Amino acid sequence: MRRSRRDDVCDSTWEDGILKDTEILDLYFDRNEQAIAETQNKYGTYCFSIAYHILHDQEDSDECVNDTWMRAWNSIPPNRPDYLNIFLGTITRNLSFDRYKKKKAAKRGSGDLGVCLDELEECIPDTGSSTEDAVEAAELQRMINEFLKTLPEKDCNVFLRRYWYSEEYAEIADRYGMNLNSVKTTLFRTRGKLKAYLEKQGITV
Amino acid sequence: MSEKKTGQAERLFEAMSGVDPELLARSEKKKKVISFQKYAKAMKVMAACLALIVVGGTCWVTLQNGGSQKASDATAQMSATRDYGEKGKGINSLKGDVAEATQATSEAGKQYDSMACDNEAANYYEADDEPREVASAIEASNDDGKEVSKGATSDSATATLQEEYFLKITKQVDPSKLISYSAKASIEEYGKRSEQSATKSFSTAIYSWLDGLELVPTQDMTFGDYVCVQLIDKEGNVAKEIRVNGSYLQKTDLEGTFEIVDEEYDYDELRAAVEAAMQAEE
Repeated sequence: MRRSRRDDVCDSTWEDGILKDTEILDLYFDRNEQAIAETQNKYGTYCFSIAYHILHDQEDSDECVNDTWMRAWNSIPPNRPDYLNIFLGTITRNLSFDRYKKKKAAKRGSGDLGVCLDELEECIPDTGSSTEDAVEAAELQRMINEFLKTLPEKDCNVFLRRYWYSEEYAEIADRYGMNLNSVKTTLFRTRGKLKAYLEKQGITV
Repeated sequence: MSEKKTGQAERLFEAMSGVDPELLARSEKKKKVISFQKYAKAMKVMAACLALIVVGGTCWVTLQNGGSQKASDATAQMSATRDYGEKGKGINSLKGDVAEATQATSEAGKQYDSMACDNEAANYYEADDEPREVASAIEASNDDGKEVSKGATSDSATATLQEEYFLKITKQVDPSKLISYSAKASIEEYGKRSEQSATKSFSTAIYSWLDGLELVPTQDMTFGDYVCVQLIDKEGNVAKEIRVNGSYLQKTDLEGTFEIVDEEYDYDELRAAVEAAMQAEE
Protein backbone atom coordinates (compact mmCIF):
# COMPACT_ATOMS: atom_id res chain seq x y z
CA MET A 1 0.00 0.00 0.00
CA ARG A 2 1.39 3.35 -0.97
CA ARG A 3 2.31 5.40 2.07
CA SER A 4 0.85 8.86 2.27
CA ARG A 5 2.99 11.84 3.03
CA ARG A 6 1.27 12.07 6.41
CA ASP A 7 2.42 8.54 7.28
CA ASP A 8 5.95 9.47 6.39
CA VAL A 9 5.82 12.55 8.60
CA CYS A 10 4.22 10.78 11.53
CA ASP A 11 6.59 7.81 11.38
CA SER A 12 9.59 9.97 10.82
CA THR A 13 8.91 11.81 14.05
CA TRP A 14 8.51 8.67 16.16
CA GLU A 15 11.37 7.76 18.41
CA ASP A 16 11.84 5.16 21.14
CA GLY A 17 9.65 6.01 24.13
CA ILE A 18 7.80 8.74 22.27
CA LEU A 19 4.41 8.12 20.80
CA LYS A 20 3.59 8.58 17.17
CA ASP A 21 1.47 11.56 16.25
CA THR A 22 -1.47 9.30 15.44
CA GLU A 23 -1.27 7.76 18.88
CA ILE A 24 -1.12 11.15 20.57
CA LEU A 25 -4.13 12.31 18.57
CA ASP A 26 -5.99 9.18 19.65
CA LEU A 27 -5.39 10.18 23.25
CA TYR A 28 -6.89 13.59 22.55
CA PHE A 29 -9.91 12.02 20.95
CA ASP A 30 -10.27 9.68 23.94
CA ARG A 31 -10.07 12.80 26.16
CA ASN A 32 -7.19 11.17 27.96
CA GLU A 33 -5.17 13.85 29.73
CA GLN A 34 -2.04 11.82 29.07
CA ALA A 35 -2.25 13.43 25.62
CA ILE A 36 -0.95 16.70 27.04
CA ALA A 37 1.98 15.01 28.75
CA GLU A 38 2.88 13.13 25.59
CA THR A 39 2.57 16.30 23.52
CA GLN A 40 4.83 18.16 25.90
CA ASN A 41 7.29 15.30 25.85
CA LYS A 42 7.45 15.23 22.07
CA TYR A 43 6.96 18.84 21.03
CA GLY A 44 7.78 20.87 24.11
CA THR A 45 11.21 21.88 22.85
CA TYR A 46 9.89 22.53 19.37
CA CYS A 47 7.15 24.88 20.55
CA PHE A 48 9.41 26.56 23.06
CA SER A 49 11.89 27.28 20.29
CA ILE A 50 9.21 28.97 18.20
CA ALA A 51 8.05 31.05 21.15
CA TYR A 52 11.54 32.00 22.23
CA HIS A 53 12.53 33.14 18.74
CA ILE A 54 9.67 35.64 18.93
CA LEU A 55 9.74 36.66 22.57
CA HIS A 56 13.35 36.12 23.66
CA ASP A 57 12.11 35.61 27.18
CA GLN A 58 12.08 32.28 29.00
CA GLU A 59 9.08 32.93 31.24
CA ASP A 60 6.90 34.36 28.52
CA SER A 61 7.87 31.52 26.20
CA ASP A 62 6.99 28.92 28.84
CA GLU A 63 3.61 30.54 29.35
CA CYS A 64 2.90 30.54 25.64
CA VAL A 65 3.84 26.89 25.39
CA ASN A 66 1.56 25.98 28.29
CA ASP A 67 -1.23 27.96 26.69
CA THR A 68 -0.59 26.02 23.52
CA TRP A 69 -1.36 22.72 25.24
CA MET A 70 -4.58 24.15 26.55
CA ARG A 71 -5.58 25.43 23.13
CA ALA A 72 -4.69 22.09 21.57
CA TRP A 73 -6.80 20.25 24.16
CA ASN A 74 -9.74 22.50 23.36
CA SER A 75 -9.43 22.15 19.60
CA ILE A 76 -8.64 18.44 19.27
CA PRO A 77 -11.24 17.11 18.57
CA PRO A 78 -12.84 18.06 16.25
CA ASN A 79 -9.58 18.96 14.51
CA ARG A 80 -7.32 16.08 13.61
CA PRO A 81 -4.31 17.80 12.04
CA ASP A 82 -2.21 16.00 9.44
CA TYR A 83 0.90 17.64 10.81
CA LEU A 84 0.59 17.81 14.58
CA ASN A 85 3.90 19.62 15.02
CA ILE A 86 2.90 22.35 12.57
CA PHE A 87 -0.55 22.61 14.16
CA LEU A 88 0.95 23.11 17.60
CA GLY A 89 3.68 25.37 16.26
CA THR A 90 1.08 27.60 14.65
CA ILE A 91 -0.80 27.97 17.91
CA THR A 92 2.42 28.79 19.71
CA ARG A 93 3.42 31.27 17.04
CA ASN A 94 0.11 33.09 17.19
CA LEU A 95 0.11 33.21 20.98
CA SER A 96 3.71 34.39 21.06
CA PHE A 97 3.11 37.11 18.52
CA ASP A 98 0.07 38.38 20.41
CA ARG A 99 2.17 38.57 23.54
CA TYR A 100 4.95 40.28 21.60
CA LYS A 101 2.55 42.98 20.42
CA LYS A 102 1.30 43.54 23.96
CA LYS A 103 4.83 43.84 25.27
CA LYS A 104 5.79 46.19 22.49
CA ALA A 105 2.75 48.36 23.24
CA ALA A 106 3.84 48.44 26.87
CA LYS A 107 7.38 49.20 25.66
CA ARG A 108 8.77 46.12 27.33
CA GLY A 109 11.08 43.51 26.02
CA SER A 110 13.19 43.29 22.91
CA GLY A 111 14.40 40.70 20.54
CA ASP A 112 15.21 39.78 17.06
CA LEU A 113 11.61 39.81 15.88
CA GLY A 114 11.81 43.56 15.33
CA VAL A 115 14.49 42.89 12.73
CA CYS A 116 12.26 40.30 11.05
CA LEU A 117 9.41 42.79 10.91
CA ASP A 118 11.68 45.48 9.53
CA GLU A 119 12.67 43.07 6.78
CA LEU A 120 9.06 42.25 6.05
CA GLU A 121 8.37 45.95 5.51
CA GLU A 122 10.35 45.55 2.30
CA CYS A 123 7.60 43.21 1.08
CA ILE A 124 4.85 45.78 1.51
CA PRO A 125 3.63 46.68 -1.98
CA ASP A 126 3.76 50.30 -3.02
CA THR A 127 0.41 50.01 -4.78
CA GLY A 128 -2.76 51.22 -3.20
CA SER A 129 -3.64 54.41 -1.38
CA SER A 130 -4.22 54.96 2.28
CA THR A 131 -7.95 55.15 1.63
CA GLU A 132 -8.19 51.68 0.14
CA ASP A 133 -9.24 48.83 2.37
CA ALA A 134 -6.57 46.34 3.22
CA VAL A 135 -7.01 42.87 1.79
CA GLU A 136 -8.80 40.35 4.00
CA ALA A 137 -6.51 38.24 6.16
CA ALA A 138 -7.69 35.01 4.56
CA GLU A 139 -7.08 36.40 1.10
CA LEU A 140 -3.61 37.54 2.09
CA GLN A 141 -2.86 34.08 3.44
CA ARG A 142 -4.02 32.54 0.19
CA MET A 143 -1.79 34.86 -1.82
CA ILE A 144 1.21 34.16 0.35
CA ASN A 145 0.69 30.42 -0.12
CA GLU A 146 0.38 30.87 -3.85
CA PHE A 147 3.53 32.92 -3.88
CA LEU A 148 5.48 30.39 -1.81
CA LYS A 149 4.55 27.63 -4.21
CA THR A 150 6.15 29.57 -7.06
CA LEU A 151 9.49 29.59 -5.29
CA PRO A 152 12.24 27.00 -5.61
CA GLU A 153 12.28 24.66 -2.63
CA LYS A 154 15.43 26.12 -1.16
CA ASP A 155 14.23 29.71 -1.34
CA CYS A 156 10.85 28.76 0.13
CA ASN A 157 12.45 26.87 3.01
CA VAL A 158 14.79 29.70 3.87
CA PHE A 159 11.94 32.22 3.72
CA LEU A 160 9.79 30.13 6.04
CA ARG A 161 12.57 29.52 8.52
CA ARG A 162 13.12 33.24 8.74
CA TYR A 163 9.60 34.63 8.73
CA TRP A 164 7.57 31.77 10.13
CA TYR A 165 9.99 30.29 12.63
CA SER A 166 11.79 33.63 13.15
CA GLU A 167 15.12 31.83 13.10
CA GLU A 168 18.33 33.78 12.86
CA TYR A 169 20.52 33.77 9.79
CA ALA A 170 23.17 31.59 11.41
CA GLU A 171 20.62 28.95 12.39
CA ILE A 172 19.23 28.81 8.88
CA ALA A 173 22.70 28.63 7.38
CA ASP A 174 23.59 25.79 9.73
CA ARG A 175 20.39 23.89 8.99
CA TYR A 176 20.85 23.89 5.25
CA GLY A 177 24.64 23.93 5.06
CA MET A 178 24.64 27.35 3.44
CA ASN A 179 26.92 30.25 4.13
CA LEU A 180 25.63 33.35 5.82
CA ASN A 181 25.85 35.52 2.77
CA SER A 182 23.82 33.08 0.72
CA VAL A 183 21.05 33.09 3.32
CA LYS A 184 20.89 36.87 3.41
CA THR A 185 20.96 37.19 -0.34
CA THR A 186 18.31 34.51 -0.80
CA LEU A 187 16.03 36.27 1.67
CA PHE A 188 16.61 39.66 0.08
CA ARG A 189 15.72 38.34 -3.35
CA THR A 190 12.67 36.49 -2.07
CA ARG A 191 11.37 39.57 -0.27
CA GLY A 192 11.72 41.47 -3.52
CA LYS A 193 9.81 38.77 -5.35
CA LEU A 194 7.03 38.81 -2.75
CA LYS A 195 6.70 42.54 -3.03
CA ALA A 196 6.54 42.30 -6.82
CA TYR A 197 3.96 39.52 -6.53
CA LEU A 198 1.72 41.49 -4.16
CA GLU A 199 2.03 44.59 -6.33
CA LYS A 200 1.03 42.57 -9.33
CA GLN A 201 -2.06 41.41 -7.44
CA GLY A 202 -2.79 45.07 -6.75
CA ILE A 203 -3.54 44.56 -3.10
CA THR A 204 -3.08 46.72 -0.05
CA VAL A 205 -1.76 45.00 3.04
CA MET B 1 9.86 53.36 9.94
CA SER B 2 6.31 54.62 9.93
CA GLU B 3 3.71 53.16 12.23
CA LYS B 4 1.64 52.24 9.21
CA LYS B 5 4.48 50.25 7.66
CA THR B 6 5.13 48.51 10.96
CA GLY B 7 1.48 47.59 11.22
CA GLN B 8 1.48 46.27 7.69
CA ALA B 9 4.58 44.19 8.40
CA GLU B 10 2.89 42.77 11.49
CA ARG B 11 -0.12 41.91 9.40
CA LEU B 12 2.09 40.13 6.92
CA PHE B 13 3.78 38.25 9.75
CA GLU B 14 0.41 37.17 11.11
CA ALA B 15 -0.77 36.11 7.68
CA MET B 16 2.23 33.76 7.50
CA SER B 17 0.46 31.62 10.12
CA GLY B 18 -1.77 30.39 7.34
CA VAL B 19 1.10 28.89 5.35
CA ASP B 20 0.47 25.42 3.98
CA PRO B 21 1.65 22.90 6.60
CA GLU B 22 3.23 20.78 3.89
CA LEU B 23 5.56 23.63 3.01
CA LEU B 24 6.46 24.05 6.66
CA ALA B 25 7.04 20.33 7.13
CA ARG B 26 9.32 20.34 4.11
CA SER B 27 11.37 23.16 5.60
CA GLU B 28 11.98 21.09 8.73
CA LYS B 29 14.30 18.70 6.98
CA LYS B 30 17.95 19.46 7.23
CA LYS B 31 19.77 18.99 4.00
CA LYS B 32 23.18 17.53 3.59
CA VAL B 33 25.08 19.68 1.23
CA ILE B 34 27.96 18.61 -0.83
CA SER B 35 30.21 21.46 0.03
CA PHE B 36 32.12 23.21 -2.63
CA GLN B 37 35.29 22.33 -0.78
CA LYS B 38 34.63 18.62 -1.19
CA TYR B 39 33.66 19.16 -4.80
CA ALA B 40 36.86 21.09 -5.42
CA LYS B 41 38.87 18.37 -3.72
CA ALA B 42 37.31 15.75 -5.96
CA MET B 43 38.07 17.89 -9.00
CA LYS B 44 41.70 18.19 -7.91
CA VAL B 45 41.98 14.43 -7.57
CA MET B 46 40.52 13.99 -11.03
CA ALA B 47 42.90 16.59 -12.42
CA ALA B 48 45.84 14.78 -10.82
CA CYS B 49 44.75 11.46 -12.33
CA LEU B 50 44.38 13.07 -15.71
CA ALA B 51 47.80 14.62 -15.39
CA LEU B 52 49.26 11.20 -14.61
CA ILE B 53 47.69 9.74 -17.72
CA VAL B 54 48.93 12.63 -19.85
CA VAL B 55 52.44 12.38 -18.49
CA GLY B 56 52.48 8.65 -18.90
CA GLY B 57 51.32 8.98 -22.47
CA THR B 58 53.90 11.66 -23.19
CA CYS B 59 56.68 9.54 -21.74
CA TRP B 60 55.65 6.63 -23.86
CA VAL B 61 55.57 8.78 -26.97
CA THR B 62 58.96 10.28 -26.29
CA LEU B 63 60.46 6.94 -25.53
CA GLN B 64 59.05 5.71 -28.75
CA ASN B 65 60.52 8.68 -30.56
CA GLY B 66 63.70 8.59 -28.52
CA GLY B 67 63.25 12.27 -27.40
CA SER B 68 64.75 12.55 -23.95
CA GLN B 69 64.28 16.30 -23.72
CA LYS B 70 60.51 16.04 -23.99
CA ALA B 71 60.37 13.40 -21.28
CA SER B 72 62.23 15.54 -18.80
CA ASP B 73 59.97 18.47 -19.57
CA ALA B 74 56.91 16.36 -18.92
CA THR B 75 58.38 15.15 -15.65
CA ALA B 76 59.15 18.72 -14.61
CA GLN B 77 55.56 19.75 -15.40
CA MET B 78 54.25 16.89 -13.31
CA SER B 79 56.32 17.78 -10.29
CA ALA B 80 55.30 21.39 -10.73
CA THR B 81 51.68 20.32 -10.81
CA ARG B 82 52.18 18.28 -7.65
CA ASP B 83 53.81 21.22 -5.93
CA TYR B 84 51.01 23.42 -7.03
CA GLY B 85 48.42 21.00 -5.74
CA GLU B 86 49.79 21.45 -2.24
CA LYS B 87 49.55 25.20 -2.53
CA GLY B 88 46.16 25.00 -4.07
CA LYS B 89 44.73 23.44 -0.92
CA GLY B 90 44.99 26.89 0.59
CA ILE B 91 42.05 28.12 -1.44
CA ASN B 92 39.56 26.18 0.55
CA SER B 93 41.00 26.82 3.95
CA LEU B 94 40.97 30.56 3.76
CA LYS B 95 38.20 31.87 5.87
CA GLY B 96 38.48 35.57 5.33
CA ASP B 97 41.43 36.09 7.64
CA VAL B 98 43.25 38.84 5.79
CA ALA B 99 46.54 38.40 7.63
CA GLU B 100 46.57 34.66 7.13
CA ALA B 101 45.70 34.91 3.47
CA THR B 102 48.21 37.65 2.82
CA GLN B 103 50.96 35.49 4.31
CA ALA B 104 49.91 32.55 2.18
CA THR B 105 49.81 34.82 -0.83
CA SER B 106 53.35 36.07 -0.34
CA GLU B 107 54.71 32.56 0.26
CA ALA B 108 53.21 31.22 -2.92
CA GLY B 109 54.11 34.32 -4.87
CA LYS B 110 57.80 33.79 -4.29
CA GLN B 111 57.72 30.56 -6.19
CA TYR B 112 56.34 31.67 -9.51
CA ASP B 113 57.07 34.14 -12.24
CA SER B 114 54.70 36.99 -12.74
CA MET B 115 52.14 36.55 -15.41
CA ALA B 116 49.21 38.13 -17.11
CA CYS B 117 46.05 38.35 -15.09
CA ASP B 118 43.49 39.34 -17.62
CA ASN B 119 41.59 37.37 -20.15
CA GLU B 120 44.49 37.43 -22.54
CA ALA B 121 46.47 35.51 -19.95
CA ALA B 122 44.33 32.51 -20.71
CA ASN B 123 45.83 32.52 -24.17
CA TYR B 124 48.87 31.00 -22.62
CA TYR B 125 46.96 27.80 -22.30
CA GLU B 126 47.13 26.64 -25.86
CA ALA B 127 46.94 23.15 -27.09
CA ASP B 128 50.57 22.45 -27.60
CA ASP B 129 53.10 20.43 -25.71
CA GLU B 130 55.78 23.06 -25.51
CA PRO B 131 56.00 24.91 -22.25
CA ARG B 132 55.11 28.55 -22.48
CA GLU B 133 57.13 31.36 -21.09
CA VAL B 134 55.32 33.78 -18.91
CA ALA B 135 55.42 37.57 -19.08
CA SER B 136 54.47 40.09 -16.48
CA ALA B 137 50.85 41.09 -16.25
CA ILE B 138 51.09 44.58 -17.61
CA GLU B 139 53.51 43.69 -20.36
CA ALA B 140 51.47 40.74 -21.58
CA SER B 141 48.33 42.77 -21.75
CA ASN B 142 49.96 45.13 -24.18
CA ASP B 143 50.60 42.55 -26.84
CA ASP B 144 48.23 40.29 -28.62
CA GLY B 145 48.52 37.68 -25.99
CA LYS B 146 50.28 35.23 -28.22
CA GLU B 147 53.86 36.00 -27.36
CA VAL B 148 55.16 35.53 -23.91
CA SER B 149 58.75 36.41 -23.66
CA LYS B 150 59.59 39.14 -21.21
CA GLY B 151 60.79 38.24 -17.82
CA ALA B 152 61.01 34.59 -18.75
CA THR B 153 63.29 32.36 -16.82
CA SER B 154 64.43 28.86 -17.34
CA ASP B 155 61.85 27.74 -14.80
CA SER B 156 58.97 29.52 -16.47
CA ALA B 157 58.20 26.44 -18.52
CA THR B 158 57.30 24.53 -15.38
CA ALA B 159 55.43 27.52 -14.04
CA THR B 160 52.85 27.39 -16.81
CA LEU B 161 50.58 24.98 -15.06
CA GLN B 162 51.46 26.19 -11.63
CA GLU B 163 50.51 29.79 -12.05
CA GLU B 164 48.40 31.15 -9.30
CA TYR B 165 46.09 34.04 -9.45
CA PHE B 166 45.71 35.93 -6.31
CA LEU B 167 42.27 37.20 -5.86
CA LYS B 168 41.55 39.86 -3.40
CA ILE B 169 37.87 39.94 -2.73
CA THR B 170 36.72 43.25 -1.56
CA LYS B 171 33.33 43.96 -0.23
CA GLN B 172 32.75 47.60 -0.81
CA VAL B 173 30.05 48.89 1.41
CA ASP B 174 31.33 52.39 1.48
CA PRO B 175 34.20 53.63 -0.60
CA SER B 176 35.93 54.83 2.52
CA LYS B 177 35.52 51.51 4.27
CA LEU B 178 36.82 48.44 2.57
CA ILE B 179 36.49 45.00 3.97
CA SER B 180 39.09 42.79 2.38
CA TYR B 181 39.65 39.10 2.16
CA SER B 182 42.45 37.36 0.41
CA ALA B 183 42.48 34.01 -1.21
CA LYS B 184 44.56 32.01 -3.55
CA ALA B 185 42.97 30.71 -6.68
CA SER B 186 44.18 28.57 -9.45
CA ILE B 187 43.19 27.85 -12.96
CA GLU B 188 45.30 24.74 -13.08
CA GLU B 189 42.40 22.62 -14.11
CA TYR B 190 41.92 24.75 -17.16
CA GLY B 191 45.34 23.55 -18.32
CA LYS B 192 45.75 23.85 -22.01
CA ARG B 193 42.81 25.19 -23.84
CA SER B 194 42.16 27.05 -27.01
CA GLU B 195 42.10 30.77 -26.81
CA GLN B 196 38.35 31.09 -27.03
CA SER B 197 37.39 28.57 -24.41
CA ALA B 198 40.23 29.53 -22.11
CA THR B 199 39.00 33.09 -22.04
CA LYS B 200 35.57 32.06 -20.94
CA SER B 201 36.88 29.52 -18.51
CA PHE B 202 39.11 32.08 -16.91
CA SER B 203 36.17 34.37 -16.25
CA THR B 204 34.21 31.47 -14.88
CA ALA B 205 37.12 30.50 -12.69
CA ILE B 206 37.01 33.85 -10.98
CA TYR B 207 33.43 33.41 -9.99
CA SER B 208 33.91 29.78 -9.10
CA TRP B 209 36.65 30.67 -6.69
CA LEU B 210 34.63 33.48 -5.27
CA ASP B 211 31.91 30.93 -4.86
CA GLY B 212 34.16 28.66 -2.87
CA LEU B 213 35.21 31.37 -0.48
CA GLU B 214 33.49 31.89 2.80
CA LEU B 215 33.19 35.56 3.32
CA VAL B 216 32.88 36.51 6.94
CA PRO B 217 32.03 40.17 6.75
CA THR B 218 32.58 42.48 9.62
CA GLN B 219 29.56 44.40 8.50
CA ASP B 220 26.29 43.08 7.23
CA MET B 221 26.49 42.44 3.55
CA THR B 222 23.40 43.25 1.64
CA PHE B 223 22.26 42.33 -1.76
CA GLY B 224 23.22 44.79 -4.42
CA ASP B 225 26.55 45.78 -2.97
CA TYR B 226 29.41 45.59 -5.36
CA VAL B 227 32.02 42.94 -5.06
CA CYS B 228 35.38 44.08 -6.27
CA VAL B 229 37.71 41.43 -7.57
CA GLN B 230 41.33 42.36 -7.79
CA LEU B 231 43.87 40.19 -9.49
CA ILE B 232 47.19 40.62 -7.80
CA ASP B 233 50.47 39.40 -9.21
CA LYS B 234 53.16 37.85 -7.13
CA GLU B 235 54.76 41.23 -6.57
CA GLY B 236 51.64 42.27 -4.71
CA ASN B 237 50.63 44.74 -7.39
CA VAL B 238 47.04 45.00 -8.48
CA ALA B 239 47.15 43.88 -12.09
CA LYS B 240 43.47 44.04 -12.82
CA GLU B 241 40.38 45.07 -11.00
CA ILE B 242 36.92 43.91 -11.83
CA ARG B 243 33.91 45.35 -10.14
CA VAL B 244 30.84 43.20 -10.41
CA ASN B 245 27.42 43.62 -8.95
CA GLY B 246 27.04 41.16 -6.11
CA SER B 247 23.82 39.83 -7.49
CA TYR B 248 25.68 37.88 -10.10
CA LEU B 249 27.83 36.04 -7.66
CA GLN B 250 25.47 33.41 -6.42
CA LYS B 251 25.85 29.74 -6.01
CA THR B 252 23.58 26.82 -5.87
CA ASP B 253 24.55 25.09 -2.68
CA LEU B 254 23.24 21.64 -3.41
CA GLU B 255 25.22 21.15 -6.55
CA GLY B 256 28.29 22.91 -5.23
CA THR B 257 28.79 24.59 -8.57
CA PHE B 258 28.47 28.10 -9.73
CA GLU B 259 25.08 28.93 -11.14
CA ILE B 260 23.34 32.12 -11.99
CA VAL B 261 20.03 32.24 -10.26
CA ASP B 262 18.89 35.69 -11.25
CA GLU B 263 16.35 35.39 -14.05
CA GLU B 264 17.32 38.76 -15.37
CA TYR B 265 20.94 37.85 -15.52
CA ASP B 266 22.57 37.52 -18.89
CA TYR B 267 25.88 35.70 -18.64
CA ASP B 268 27.09 36.90 -22.04
CA GLU B 269 26.26 40.44 -21.08
CA LEU B 270 28.18 40.10 -17.85
CA ARG B 271 31.17 38.53 -19.50
CA ALA B 272 31.20 41.35 -22.04
CA ALA B 273 31.06 43.89 -19.22
CA VAL B 274 33.90 42.17 -17.39
CA GLU B 275 36.03 42.03 -20.52
CA ALA B 276 35.27 45.67 -21.30
CA ALA B 277 36.33 46.63 -17.79
CA MET B 278 39.53 44.69 -18.19
CA GLN B 279 40.30 46.28 -21.53
CA ALA B 280 39.52 49.73 -20.19
CA GLU B 281 42.20 49.30 -17.61
CA GLU B 282 44.87 48.41 -20.15
